Amino acid sequence: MIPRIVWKEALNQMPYEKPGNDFTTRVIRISGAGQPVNAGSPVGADPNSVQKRLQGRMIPAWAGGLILALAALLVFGPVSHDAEMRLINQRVGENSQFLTRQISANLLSVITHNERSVNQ
Amino acid sequence: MVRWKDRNTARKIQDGDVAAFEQLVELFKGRVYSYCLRMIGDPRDGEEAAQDVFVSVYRHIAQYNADKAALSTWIFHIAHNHCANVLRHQQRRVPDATAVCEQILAAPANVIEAWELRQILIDGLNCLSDEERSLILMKDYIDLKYREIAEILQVPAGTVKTRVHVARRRLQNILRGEKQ
Repeated sequence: MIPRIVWKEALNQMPYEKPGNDFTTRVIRISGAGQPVNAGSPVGADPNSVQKRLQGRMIPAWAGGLILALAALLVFGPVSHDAEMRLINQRVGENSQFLTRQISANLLSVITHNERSVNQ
Repeated sequence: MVRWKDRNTARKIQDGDVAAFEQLVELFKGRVYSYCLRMIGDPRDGEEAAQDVFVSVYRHIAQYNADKAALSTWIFHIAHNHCANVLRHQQRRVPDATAVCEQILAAPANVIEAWELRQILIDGLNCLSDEERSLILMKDYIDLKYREIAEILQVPAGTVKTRVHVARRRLQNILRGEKQ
């Protein structure tokens, strides 16, 4: 049995292990130290956190397209509707004018025909 | 809390000061390597993990915030996460951990030489879970404060105290030769 005080003391006094002699040189070479590191916003301490992994990630192209299409529909939808209604009204107006002209012409021809009949 | 020294070191490294980074590696390599070695269990893998930790430190130095944590805490946060990833990917803790634990349980513990104590202690640590081993190493070996461990694990300091207490009791039982 090893008393707790003994193992705690032993663990606390256990010397740190040393990595290989060229450890520092290797780290510097692999990391490419010497080049300025791109600045980033300081966020937390964990470079592998989900929050960090999400940072700087682009919205996928299809999602962007979908968002733009929805936005266009939302913004231009009512305008298009109005324009369509305007066009329909214009057409109805034109048609009614056309019909009025047609009826007038028909009426005129009937009247003329009647007048001729009476005269004869 | 502003840590001017840590902030200056981080800024120097960010600006491409190799000497500052070299100084940082020299200062922490023993502790980081020892932690990785005791967590992973293999000297070669431990050294590779420690190397990856420092490379990660360099590449993410711009994200270090001196207002939030000390540089040492930040480095051990990276080391802790990296070792957890390595262990998860390797799907193993330490080589033949079960066999080692059985040896400890079978060994007569009344006469233990000082040089044996260290090995028994290391073997005992290997019988703990990854989380328990990590807590004991951070608190009793690397000598981090409860507050610092809480920052690394992102849990309240009270939770860390409880977990360390449980881990110590487990190790104590293992060293006593009691089966868990």
